[in-house]
Amino acid sequence: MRAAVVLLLLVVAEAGAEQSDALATELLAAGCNACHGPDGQGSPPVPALRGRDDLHVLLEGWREAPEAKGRAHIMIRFARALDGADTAALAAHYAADDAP
Amino acid sequence: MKGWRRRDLLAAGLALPVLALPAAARSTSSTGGPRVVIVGGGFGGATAARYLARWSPQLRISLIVGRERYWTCPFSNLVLIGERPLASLEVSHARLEAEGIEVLRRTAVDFDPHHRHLELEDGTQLAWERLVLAPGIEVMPEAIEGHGAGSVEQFPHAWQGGPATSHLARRLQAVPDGGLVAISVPEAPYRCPPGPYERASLFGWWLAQHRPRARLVILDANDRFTKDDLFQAHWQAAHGDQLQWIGRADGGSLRRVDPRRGSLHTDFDDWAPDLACVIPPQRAAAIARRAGLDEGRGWCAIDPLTFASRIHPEVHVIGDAAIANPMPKSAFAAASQARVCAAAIATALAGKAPPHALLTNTCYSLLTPETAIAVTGSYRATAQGIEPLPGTTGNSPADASDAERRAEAGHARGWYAAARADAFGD
Ligand SMILES: Cc1cc2nc3c(=O)[nH]c(=O)nc-3n(C[C@H](O)[C@H](O)[C@H](O)COP(=O)(O)OP(=O)(O)OC[C@H]3O[C@@H](n4cnc5c(N)ncnc54)[C@H](O)[C@@H]3O)c2cc1C
Ligand code: HEC
Repeated sequence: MRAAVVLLLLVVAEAGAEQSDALATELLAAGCNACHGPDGQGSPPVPALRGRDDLHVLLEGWREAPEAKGRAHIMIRFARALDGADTAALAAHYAADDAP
Repeated sequence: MKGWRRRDLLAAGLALPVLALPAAARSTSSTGGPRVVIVGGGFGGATAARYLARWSPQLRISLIVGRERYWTCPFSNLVLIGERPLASLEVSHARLEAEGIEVLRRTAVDFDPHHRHLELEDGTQLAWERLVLAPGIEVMPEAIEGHGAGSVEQFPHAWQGGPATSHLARRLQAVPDGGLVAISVPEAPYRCPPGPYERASLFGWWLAQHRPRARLVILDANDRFTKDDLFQAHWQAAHGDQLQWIGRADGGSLRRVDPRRGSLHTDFDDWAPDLACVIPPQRAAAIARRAGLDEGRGWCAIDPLTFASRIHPEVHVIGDAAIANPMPKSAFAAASQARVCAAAIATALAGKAPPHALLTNTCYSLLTPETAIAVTGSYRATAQGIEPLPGTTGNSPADASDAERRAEAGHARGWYAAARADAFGD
């Protein structure tokens, strides 16, 4: 049985870097879902992210915002933790309709 | 059951010698994959179990949840003022079981990091590849002179949720008009840094409606606290002199209680409140202090990239029991840490490096049942420690309008529902 486990793990390891990027994006998105609901489907009144095509624009706008104020002060602060690759990956993640 | 030790079980004739166990109880796994055992079915443990199941489907996952039912602490301050039924805070682990996670309703009493076993109260030994401890806190009333487990009912804290919350709610109801309520706050670190001040705000709101001549005093063993300017501004505006905060520098530290008189004693003052809510000093729950895991400090040092213990790296510690400052001990932080830990275990078992990890926290605090403030922060984990990312930490704006404070209370409810759904699917 041990040998089978090791073999399985080796097969998983083979899948390589692409899979680990996918995991990193899922991990990032899970942090958003903590407020925006399972799979980003929304947790009223916190709005849904799933299926939107304006995420990249909104997140990039917040990253540029000089001050964290107004109703979206939390989002401005979260956006500052992201880099351009993160916002692109999140936008693609939520735009896809195949919810995990 | 929480305080049971192996020797108590031996005395009761309940402990089974390991060798007498059926083979199944000792085997690594019956499903072929390696086994991860997680202790604690709260926000940290339940979240870790579900994300491990998602990211490492070949694993056998056992979640040890203890014998007690689980009620969330988040939103329990609303139960205290009759704005929410306690039953609405109870969560079940049924969804996790349906997802293939083995849920064991027993208490873990010890573990052996070298032979990789976890021992349950009935003597069962569970073998593991990785052990995740998310057991939350233990309160230490005995650390306050004159206090102890026997006087907790008299000086209720309700800091671990559940039926104790209803008891404290009844005690608040019994406070007469013109009476005095005291809340004492232990020196940090403790579970939920804004919790005592949210409680004070909601007590203040309730007293203003129902006991308009009553007063509230906060006896604080700290000089600063989270969102203090926002809380203080609200208290001043809403309650004036009827709500008084006394910090450490002004002698706010509680030194002694007298259960016979129901009195509280600080360096400078003696208080005789009608209700004294004494939040005791805290440390990691007992299982996280076994095998030297806490180095005698009460909390467990971890590597923030993986939440592996600095002492026994195949044992991971997440949530309130871990030292993860500057992250607070919150349900939000416990879940964030649980996901990072789950990703680290999933990748490690597959022979890979953990993914780049962002840790996050947001704590909403209600000022009234309909208005709230928040503190938020994002952190980078490095092998050295947890660093706040520039520009990501801060509070709700001080000049927010009433409409914005109301919107924020809505967001708090949305977060609560989402956090429960994420951790428990319930
Ligand atoms: C009044 C109050 C309000 C709060 N409000 C908020 C809020 O609004 N937002 C927020 O983010 N956080 C809030 N918190 C904090 C939050 O409750 C904790 O930070 C969170 O529960 C920590 O999660 P955990 O998994 O580490 O521990 P817990 O949630 O306590 O879960 C640990 C579980 O493990 C069990 N256990 C312990 N030892 C064993 C053992 N040996 N064997 C088996 N089971 C065991 C325990 O019984 C418990 O069920 C609040 C806390 C309080 C007190
Ligand atoms: C602490 C809770 C919380 C977390 C975590 C969080 N958000 Fe939000 N988010 C909110 C709230 C609340 C709003 C609504 C703000 C408002 O009312 O204007 C919002 C709004 C948004 C919006 C605008 C939606 C709209 O309809 O205008 C986007 C886009 C968004 N968030 C993306 C994200 C992404 C991406 C993440 C993860 C990186 C994230 N959020 C994490 C609470 C959160």
